[in-house]
Amino acid sequence: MTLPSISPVLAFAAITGIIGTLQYFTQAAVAASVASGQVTGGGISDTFGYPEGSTFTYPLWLYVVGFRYHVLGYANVLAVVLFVVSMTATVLLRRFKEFTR
Amino acid sequence: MTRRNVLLFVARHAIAIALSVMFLAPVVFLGLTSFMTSDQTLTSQLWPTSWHPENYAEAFAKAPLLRYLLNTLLYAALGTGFMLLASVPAAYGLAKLRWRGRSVTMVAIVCMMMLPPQVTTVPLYLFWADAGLTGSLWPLILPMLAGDAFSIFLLRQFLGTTTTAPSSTPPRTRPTGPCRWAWPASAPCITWSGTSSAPPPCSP
Repeated sequence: MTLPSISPVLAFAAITGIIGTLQYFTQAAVAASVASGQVTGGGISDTFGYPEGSTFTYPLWLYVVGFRYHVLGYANVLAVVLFVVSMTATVLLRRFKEFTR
Repeated sequence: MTRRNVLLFVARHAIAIALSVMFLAPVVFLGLTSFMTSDQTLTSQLWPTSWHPENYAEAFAKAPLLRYLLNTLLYAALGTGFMLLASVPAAYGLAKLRWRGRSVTMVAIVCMMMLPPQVTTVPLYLFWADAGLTGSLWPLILPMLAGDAFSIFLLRQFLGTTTTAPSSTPPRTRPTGPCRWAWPASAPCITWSGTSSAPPPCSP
């Protein structure tokens, strides 16, 4: 078991890691809502980003814009940008031949 | 045992015990909290001031927990079964066979993981509502028949490693004969994709 032989697995970890990190949502949402002191209720996405928007991640902001402010066009653009960034990172990673075999 | 070996034994076990206490602590905390009054659960105290085993009876009385458990089992068993049925052949084809469009197909499958679930929730709901299947478990189970992008990617990368096939095997364009080689060596990654799929990570 040497590095070249596990390179496909490394590529898997790297690509899913990047995609997963860019979509970081749940933990930030829960942390903000716990920190805000509103354990229950408060309506949808009220506590996201608490305090002062300091715990916003990209998809959290997307969610708030789309489903709280109902600016769906802006939210849609955010989703497309997120997709393009993930795609670019993946394609760049795949350029390393030893990652793809 | 020499003196040095005894010291090593003690050191190794001390570290192992410390680590296991660390990992067990949340579970113990969970168990202790289940015996507290609901007022005490929101405090930072670790030990229940008064014991309330009737919490358990109450939990089963207030909600049909057994029904929920059955739903979970049904979803986990059927979902995982269908997912493996669809994903393993797909991953095999992508990892071991050479065909035109293989690379593009792979990127397309990875693309399915790139949109966060928050974006696809509403269109997906509308789709299943049109199909008249909302309110049932089928919207969770049926998509698994088409495979799961994460699992296909995972299995494909693992099946592609040299540990699962002799590197002297020449690339083939179609499967020849029963693929016996695949099972024992790829069992770990199939098990992993099966266990990790039970709650959908981000099933599109």
